[in-house]
Amino acid sequence: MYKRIFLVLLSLALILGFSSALFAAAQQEEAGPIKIGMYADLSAGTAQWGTDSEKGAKLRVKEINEKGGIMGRKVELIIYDCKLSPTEAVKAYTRLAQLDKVAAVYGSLISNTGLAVSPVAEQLKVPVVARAMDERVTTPKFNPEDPENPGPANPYFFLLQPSAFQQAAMIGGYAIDELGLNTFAMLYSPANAYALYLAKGFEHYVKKRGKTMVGGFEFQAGDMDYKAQLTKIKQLKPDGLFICNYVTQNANAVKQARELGLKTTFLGNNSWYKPMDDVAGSAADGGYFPHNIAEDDPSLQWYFKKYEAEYGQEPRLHSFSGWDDVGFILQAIEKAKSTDPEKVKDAMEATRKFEGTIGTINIDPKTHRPVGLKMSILYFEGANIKTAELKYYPKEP
Amino acid sequence: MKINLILQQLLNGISLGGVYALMAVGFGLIFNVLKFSNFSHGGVVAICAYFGYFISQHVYPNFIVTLILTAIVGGFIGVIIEKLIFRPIRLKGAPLTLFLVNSITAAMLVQQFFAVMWGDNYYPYPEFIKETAIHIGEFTVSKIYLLMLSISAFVLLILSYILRKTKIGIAIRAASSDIRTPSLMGINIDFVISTAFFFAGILGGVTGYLLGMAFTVDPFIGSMILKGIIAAIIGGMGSLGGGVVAGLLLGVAESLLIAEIGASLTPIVIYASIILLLLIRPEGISGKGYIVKA
Repeated sequence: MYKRIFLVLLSLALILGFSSALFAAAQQEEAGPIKIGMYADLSAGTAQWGTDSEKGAKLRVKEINEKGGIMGRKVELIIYDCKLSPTEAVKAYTRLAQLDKVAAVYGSLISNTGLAVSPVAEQLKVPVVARAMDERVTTPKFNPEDPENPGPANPYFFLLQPSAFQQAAMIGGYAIDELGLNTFAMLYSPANAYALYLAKGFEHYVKKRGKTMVGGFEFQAGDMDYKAQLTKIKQLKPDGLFICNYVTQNANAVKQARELGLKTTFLGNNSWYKPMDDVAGSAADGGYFPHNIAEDDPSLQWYFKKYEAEYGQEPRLHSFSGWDDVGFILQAIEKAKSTDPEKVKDAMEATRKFEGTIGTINIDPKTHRPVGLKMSILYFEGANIKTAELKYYPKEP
Repeated sequence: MKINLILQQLLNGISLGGVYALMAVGFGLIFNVLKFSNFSHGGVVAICAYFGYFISQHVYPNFIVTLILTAIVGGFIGVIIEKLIFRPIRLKGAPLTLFLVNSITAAMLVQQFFAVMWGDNYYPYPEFIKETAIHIGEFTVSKIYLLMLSISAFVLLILSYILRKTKIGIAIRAASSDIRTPSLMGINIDFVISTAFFFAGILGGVTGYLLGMAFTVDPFIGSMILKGIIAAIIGGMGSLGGGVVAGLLLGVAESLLIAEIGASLTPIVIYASIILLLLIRPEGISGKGYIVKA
């Protein structure tokens, strides 16, 4: 009998102790730092982008904290490496949402990981802000044959740069209207969702404008030699060749195209930005590509200075993404006046005129992608990247 | 296809096949002696790609000097890998499966190490060759590929001379047919195996260096070894000559198929053909006897 009473009392004490500990933890959470999560490729083929975006993100958090944080609380950025792996990305996101209980997540830059995390985010309901350009990440029912009707947005996923189809229209529009090109070919890896959707978008745009696509040539993930495809392309003699993959693949492609003596204008994607100049060298000469920023943009010099002072190196492609995306998340938290992911999500959806380094971002609540965002058109002169047009938007988007 | 287009694709294929051949031989050499698939060869390739970059970019930018240095370093890395991860289990008489597991683990270890340490940047080699292609009429041959092909041929010739004419070469061949008997006859089998790894390492070093120069160095550069392994299988596991022929064939088949049916279907056709080939002729194209392997 006494044993039973003792057991009951013990259980009560345990429950009491546990719940008060939980209560204390909850209280501490209210008063402790505002936690936001980040999963990025810190060690994989795209680690350059991941680590650059991490640097940009940390710089933003550091600056906010030096100014006293937001809503009187410091900001804590919890970062996991997802190694370019969709499975690792889902694991990292789940951990951030369930264990770390973050208010929002800054997701990896890669479309393949975005595609994996998007449905999970819809279940766990913690918003993700990312650069995954494949339309299916933000609008899961997107059909590339009918891009005008993208279908409903995933309420918990946001894109903070022009999407794959939008970027394809930027370079396509520039090639047709400014460079006067009429026939096109493409070289891309269909295993890479980002490259695949850029290619689909480019083909769609070229056909919409009444121009000719002479052929889309694929290569397998991991292949480094594209001479067989490039020999075919050389024979077809297109005016423009759209090469829209990651940096090393783009660099290998232009080097091999030069060796084969291809005399076509190269058209690229945003991965043609630094360090493509180091990797491809002068083989990229004469190639045009769209990019979120241009180095000579006078309105960005403050960021170059700030970043160089912090890290002793100049910012590259995704050093800007980290800064902008974390800023976007923090602004939404401030607007929501809460760290409740649901309220933060609502604030993100309502965001208009967010001033990022890449321009003024207006989120379209229907697609969760920015609308009307201009891009710079850059080009290679030898091994140097120059600006062709600082703020470009296609005449026919 | 037009005839000159086919010829151009043949040229593309042979140059690509030269790289596969080099990898097939490095892989086959170890298979010959220890009878297991040495995936750690990809690790040697990756380490040497980085080493070659470091030397040529920061120490001494001379093509030949850095190539030789990288090859020698590759040889020693081969020896170290053997001493550290294969010798202990060999002395314990571990089954072949364990060798295979260790070799895969070593390759992954190297890959992850480079991914964490230097994955945040790209490492282009200096431009040793300014004009990178030779144009003959309307045909184009990449100088780097031509170089790869001739260096591969040169290294393979030397290797075959060593294997046939020198004492250590004959010992390696003896160990290939039976690893126990030579040791009974007073041959230092540890030394023979170390030497085999040294030679394979040299091939890995040359491969890593040339791949790094033709493409861009990244932690996953060693994964191209898979094509070399396929070539080694087609050639008849363990037959070095068969590996070379199969490497060239694989390169040519890939180029022609990619041009005709596209890159997505090509691997399906190639892998299906390999299965068919091995069903009809399990000893591969070289015709050597089939041996149990891991």
